[in-house]
Amino acid sequence: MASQSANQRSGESAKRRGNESAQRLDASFRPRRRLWRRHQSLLYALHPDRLPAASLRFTYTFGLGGLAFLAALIAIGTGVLLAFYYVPTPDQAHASVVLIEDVVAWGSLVRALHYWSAQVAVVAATLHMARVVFTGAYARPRRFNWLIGLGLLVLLLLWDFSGYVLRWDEGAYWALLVGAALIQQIPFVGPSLYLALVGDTTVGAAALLRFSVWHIIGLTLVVGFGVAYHLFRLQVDGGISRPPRPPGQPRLLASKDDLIRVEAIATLIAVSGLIALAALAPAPLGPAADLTQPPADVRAPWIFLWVQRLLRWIDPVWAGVALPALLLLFLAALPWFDAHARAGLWFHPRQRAAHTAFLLLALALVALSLWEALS
Amino acid sequence: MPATPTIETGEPSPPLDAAVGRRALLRWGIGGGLGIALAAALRAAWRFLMPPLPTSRPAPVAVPAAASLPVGGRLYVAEARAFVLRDEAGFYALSAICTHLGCLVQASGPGYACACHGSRFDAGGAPLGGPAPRPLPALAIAWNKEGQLMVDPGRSAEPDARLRLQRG
Amino acid sequence: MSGQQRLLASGLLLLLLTLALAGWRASQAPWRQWLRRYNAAHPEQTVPIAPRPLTPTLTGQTELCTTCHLGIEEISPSHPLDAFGCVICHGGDGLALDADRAHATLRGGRNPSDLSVVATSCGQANCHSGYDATHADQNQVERVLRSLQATYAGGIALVRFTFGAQPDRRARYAVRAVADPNPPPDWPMELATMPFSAEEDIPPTLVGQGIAVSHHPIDTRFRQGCLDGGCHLWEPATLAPYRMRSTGCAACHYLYADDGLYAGGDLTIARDEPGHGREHRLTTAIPFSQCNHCHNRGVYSLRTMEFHDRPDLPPAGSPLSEFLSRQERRLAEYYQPVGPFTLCEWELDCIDCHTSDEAMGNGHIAGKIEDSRVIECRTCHGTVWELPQTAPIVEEGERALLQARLNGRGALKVGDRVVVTTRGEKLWAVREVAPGRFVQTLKVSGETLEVPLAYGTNCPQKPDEQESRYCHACHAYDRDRGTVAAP
Repeated sequence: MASQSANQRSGESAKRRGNESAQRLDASFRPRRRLWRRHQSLLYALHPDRLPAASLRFTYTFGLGGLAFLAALIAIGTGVLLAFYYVPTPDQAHASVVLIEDVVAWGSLVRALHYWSAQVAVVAATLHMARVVFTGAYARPRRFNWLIGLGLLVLLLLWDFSGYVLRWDEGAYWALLVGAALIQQIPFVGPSLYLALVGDTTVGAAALLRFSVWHIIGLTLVVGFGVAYHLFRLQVDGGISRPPRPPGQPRLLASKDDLIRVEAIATLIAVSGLIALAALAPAPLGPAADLTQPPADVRAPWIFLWVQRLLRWIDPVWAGVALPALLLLFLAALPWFDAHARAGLWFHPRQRAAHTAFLLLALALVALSLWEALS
Repeated sequence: MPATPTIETGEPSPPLDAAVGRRALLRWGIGGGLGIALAAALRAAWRFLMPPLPTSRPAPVAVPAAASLPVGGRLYVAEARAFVLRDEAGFYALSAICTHLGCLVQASGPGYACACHGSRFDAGGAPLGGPAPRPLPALAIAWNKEGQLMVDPGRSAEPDARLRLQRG
Repeated sequence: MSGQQRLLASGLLLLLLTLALAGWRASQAPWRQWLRRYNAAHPEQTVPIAPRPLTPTLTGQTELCTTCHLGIEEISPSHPLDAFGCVICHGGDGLALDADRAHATLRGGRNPSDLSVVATSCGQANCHSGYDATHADQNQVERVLRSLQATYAGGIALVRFTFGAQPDRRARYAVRAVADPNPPPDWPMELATMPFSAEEDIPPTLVGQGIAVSHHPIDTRFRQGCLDGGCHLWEPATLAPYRMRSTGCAACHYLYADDGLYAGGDLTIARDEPGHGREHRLTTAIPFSQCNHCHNRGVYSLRTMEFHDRPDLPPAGSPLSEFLSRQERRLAEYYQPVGPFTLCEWELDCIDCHTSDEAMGNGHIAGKIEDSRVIECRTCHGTVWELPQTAPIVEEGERALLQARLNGRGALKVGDRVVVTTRGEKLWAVREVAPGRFVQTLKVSGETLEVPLAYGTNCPQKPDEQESRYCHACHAYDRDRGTVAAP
């Protein structure tokens, strides 16, 4: 009797944990071998106990946030490997990158993987942001997490740009010069901000060193804490947003195991895709920067092509500082403007205004970037 | 029967809002103190990032074979990032650093063009089109003791100043 | 297997496949393919498929050029690979194993001796430039830049004078402007760049360089018809058989075959693509065939500003038979069919008579061919009344001794007497072996020839008629009879 009640209790608690073995607590129970020990696994502990099955549906979120996270992790891992050979001084930076690219065994692949995972992270993060907008997933109580996510996107772009600078090839040096000149134009704080970033009155060795520290350590730490908080906050706010349950339908839950399994499959596919991409397309590298010759290749990194296009027409303070700041402000304020949003379905008519504004903005940026890229 | 204890006071007890006021004062005080400490720490961090040592000025650069530059000719001196030109009145130097955002301009026809954002300048350095706001600055040039022409990228000169050819 | 487990397994399989793809792509890197090709061509001495580092002693910087360029000839015994490497002359990125990246910063493309970059490659410190007046002959870079073969000064002056663009035949212009701070009396101090006829004729790349505009119609026509076509060392010649050559120093010192094909050991150089030198080697033993890639190939018409190839020689005529001996070919190619010439003028190579100062200039700006041409018949043969002028080899490290050692044929040592020109340049190859006996060592073949002297003969020459045309009167070679009138 006691054992039976104990069985029942364990069965209930097992059910509560959403454990699939709960279904097997009958005479035909056979213990299955597991790949991990649940109660001693960090990975297991970091995942929610159970979550709505609708959140796991691929066509709902497309796994974009997870893809961005995975890509960033791969970038960090490959970045550590690259740091064994990279030298952050102006006369050795480009040569060390050439060494990695051409001479070090598997160097080209590691560098390509680093480059592509970083670009995929930026793209996936942006698309993830779009998905959040289009599903209204920034509705209360997730508005603060939306700001965290926006901050992460900005940090990702800075991470991407600082990594681009470290090549110290022609495009990188002139992009850095123009970017620093833009910073200097900001009223009041511009000159000191320029000194803090560049470390000298002109862009040179000090700037390269500072950017390498930011890229390798500084931004990594900030992004790390930011991502941790973003995920924690997500759990606290109620998990991945999902469509509201029609009344009368039972709650369909997925277990921790299901989530981890889905993540494993997605990771394998994404990593395979990244490796294939890295194997087929090497990371770009221009000729070494010559500070005394005008640049032959004047294209800004792809994330800032639209800024370069605007800089041809508009005063630098507006094109380079004020407009991007306003853009950021608009995005940050979106959840408050879109007050009727409620997390759930794609393209809900309630959010028509917000979605239209967002799409128009996105199209404008893409159009400006393409125009600059093709001219 | 025991009497319900009453507070016997000569004066009324201190009002509740004064007690709250003390708490608020303490809270503000501690918060303010912490705020000041945080501000001081941030300022210290900011000053940490400011480069402490003055950087050296760019040094004057010798122009090779300046005397053989023909009248109407133009020579790019890479180390000084400047163009040295000669007209009938003499020699002068124009900085090749675009006044928009710092890219180097290229010679384009009689004038100059900057490939970064499309600024164009005429033969004397005045802006013709594109986003550059100011003309290319003239740089100080002089003959040194050995008879070489030296361009000083760190010092500017009057745009109309010309240096005559040294004889002997 | 459940559906999810199947997905997991296919995910793992996909990962393994992409890793295999990455491995395969890495093995297909071009530099690996070049090494494999080398191994296939040299099965008896294969090399590992790995980067081949070379750290030359002069620079101390590791280079990987010989990974792909394995098998290339060492450029010359004076420029050993162990000391120089490749990058010190050619530029480029020595650590890159990708062709585009390695070659992006090459000086002068394939030819670092191109006159536009020669000062930074051949003319680096302590090399072929930068010497003081006592060793001015070693400033080969300056000498060539001021020589007639680079400036074309005399030709330009003559053409412009003929068409009335300048009042006399004094040289004023060159292909590219040159200056000489210490010219001899009456020699030019500087030459400006050849002008254009009108402002709009100046191409965009040359605007703003102070090139004069003459408003005379001949200048642009002459530039376009002749100077751009390569009648000087700045421009490459036409890509036709027997006419192919490089530019700058390599125009003479880097030998080209008649068909312009590479026949050396570097597999990366296409062997069927005309326009490459025969081997990656520099030499001072320059045969007549190299000179004849420019000289003796035809006439130019001043009227049409065109060059007309000789109808009896390629490319206009039929190919020279490979059974023609060297002598027969030399004769067939020599000069124009009308001019007379003596036996030695076609039996010897050009450089057996014409000296270094003549061909490369003596460091001053020659304004006409008479300034450059110093050699005369009597330099080696003497006159009826005098033996040839000689001078002794005085010290080690003397110019003539260095030239002799560089050539490697014929021994020369301090104390030997050699023939000397009127300007004092010693001809190391023509030695007085015994009083009154002169022997010439040919610079290309190494043969020795006894020099016949005019001294003491009954040659009816006059002391003030010593130009070659007077000697041709009797000693000219008769093409029809195949004989010489007088020995």
